[in-house]
Amino acid sequence: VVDIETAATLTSAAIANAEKAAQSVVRVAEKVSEALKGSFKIHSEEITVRCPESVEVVSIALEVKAGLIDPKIRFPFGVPHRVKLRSLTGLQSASQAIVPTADGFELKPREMATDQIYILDVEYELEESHDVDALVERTSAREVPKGHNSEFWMQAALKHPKVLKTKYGRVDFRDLDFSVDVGISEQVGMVIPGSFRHELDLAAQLIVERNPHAKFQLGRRHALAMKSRGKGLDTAQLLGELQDLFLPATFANFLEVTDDFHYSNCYRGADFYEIPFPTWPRNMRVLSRTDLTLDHPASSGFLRYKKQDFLQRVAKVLKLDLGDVSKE
Amino acid sequence: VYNASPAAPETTVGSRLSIRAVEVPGYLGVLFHAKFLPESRKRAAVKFRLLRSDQTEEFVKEVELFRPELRVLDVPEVVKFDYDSNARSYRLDSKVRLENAGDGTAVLAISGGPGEDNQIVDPSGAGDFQKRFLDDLGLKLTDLKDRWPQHSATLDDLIRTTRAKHTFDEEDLSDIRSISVRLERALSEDEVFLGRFVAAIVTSYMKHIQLVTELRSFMDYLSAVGPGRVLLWNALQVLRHRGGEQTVNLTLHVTDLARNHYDPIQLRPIKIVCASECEIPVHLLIDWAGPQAMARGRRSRG
Repeated sequence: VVDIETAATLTSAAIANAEKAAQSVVRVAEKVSEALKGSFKIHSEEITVRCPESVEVVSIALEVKAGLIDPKIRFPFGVPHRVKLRSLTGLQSASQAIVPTADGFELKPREMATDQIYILDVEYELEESHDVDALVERTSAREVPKGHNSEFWMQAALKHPKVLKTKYGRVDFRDLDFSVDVGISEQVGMVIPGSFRHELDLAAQLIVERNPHAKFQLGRRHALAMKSRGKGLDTAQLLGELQDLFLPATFANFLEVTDDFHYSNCYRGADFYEIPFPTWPRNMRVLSRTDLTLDHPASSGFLRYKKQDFLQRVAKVLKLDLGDVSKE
Repeated sequence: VYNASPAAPETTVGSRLSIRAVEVPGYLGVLFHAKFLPESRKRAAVKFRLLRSDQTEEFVKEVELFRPELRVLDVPEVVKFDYDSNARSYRLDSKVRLENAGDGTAVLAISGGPGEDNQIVDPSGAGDFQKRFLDDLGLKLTDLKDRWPQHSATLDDLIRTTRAKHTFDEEDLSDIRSISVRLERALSEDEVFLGRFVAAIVTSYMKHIQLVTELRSFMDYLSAVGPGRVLLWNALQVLRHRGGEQTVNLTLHVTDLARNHYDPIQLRPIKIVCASECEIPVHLLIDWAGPQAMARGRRSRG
């Protein structure tokens, strides 16, 4: 049953939050735009938020006004990462019109032709208080029911697009990040046979044992355990090989990101449950990305984890025949 | 409700929600919150009816709701614990038999009741690496706090909670939830911070690692995972036994990956018999039931 009063209260609170967040994104863009107005005719304005770098790019198409204009216009709104000015025709750089200053930059309209449209791109770091989550809803599957393919759905949508539409000409979010934790420890645990656990245990005991007789006995038992596994790598080398599977470049082979999303990176899980086992990951965190704009306000896609392929690789390292144990 | 026009508010009759206009055409976002259901798995369907002036289109969106369901299958009255000091191996003649009958991952912590007989603690001596690792990590995270003072409280809380004993009650879960959300947000918003955070963990580990730690750590990692999607949070801890007969009262504390609260499960008292003073690893007390456990058993014998 939908509790409409609660829903309405939540929605209006969410809109207020979204407005605040939109304000923090457009604030500097509005200042830039305001500073330009006296000397330039503004044709269009847009903001692109580059999520990975926490950077917003303010792009303004402008034209020098005819008549008396200021020799320089100051933009003391913080030092931008980059400022680019180019003419729309021929896309030639007009960097001679930009002068960096201690607190921002200056623009010299007299260095610009009066009959041309220019594109000014200014990259600012996003305000520390910016809150993309107030503007964008990001949801994904935490895990997948047993017996299902390992497909994690991911969905992103602008929460209240009107807020962005009214505040500025256009606000786009590029490369919004999506983290999905792919649980792997159980599968690793599932395919490691008891005999290999025994071999590990003996190896660990062998290293710390000081008594020569006990060391000899342990050495024999360890050698026997290794022999029963067959020819191949020693215990430490095997663990090294297993570790390689968790390197981003290797684990990426077991991932596929579809539809509106694209794969960006993966790394060992870094959440609360990982700390006791810093080198043996319980989860691999997979980073996917998508773009949201007012023309494309919602994205939907899947992260597919090729579990069987991963298990086959683990089994190959351990020289195991998986049989039917990998089916969950 | 996302992208619904505030100018044309939603109305509802019973469980039907009507939305008359959207802000921009093309989509509508509705976020649902599921209650705690008695069933551990249920397929929920939401029916959407799109009304246009000339036609009506109807479609159904289905979602699978699931959670863990920890079942206690057997609690032995008496457990005989043998420790072979020559082979350094343990043997228990019976164990607490558990099963995760649900589809979601169960995160489990085992605690002992009050009193000397119920002490579940870090193993003596073997905790050196863990301690050195956490001490070193604490120092490295302090460096991160200098550069990212806005995340200072989150990092302090993280260190505190990794050392804490968890009961997964409402208060504990709310603390974990808050730290996780803040940490996740900090890591996702700043890739430089993420890189430095992961590097701090890895370098602290590498600094104190020895081959024996690597071997032990891998065994601990395997011990902490039960078949049927179970993570045993305090797998590395031990039950302290003073030798002879000792009656222990164990409680199972469960949560899931969404950090929901489940009622703790109090097991009936177990008499543990052991010839001499010893430490019993927590993970050894549990035997996991389920098709995976049986499959693993078959493979071990083979």
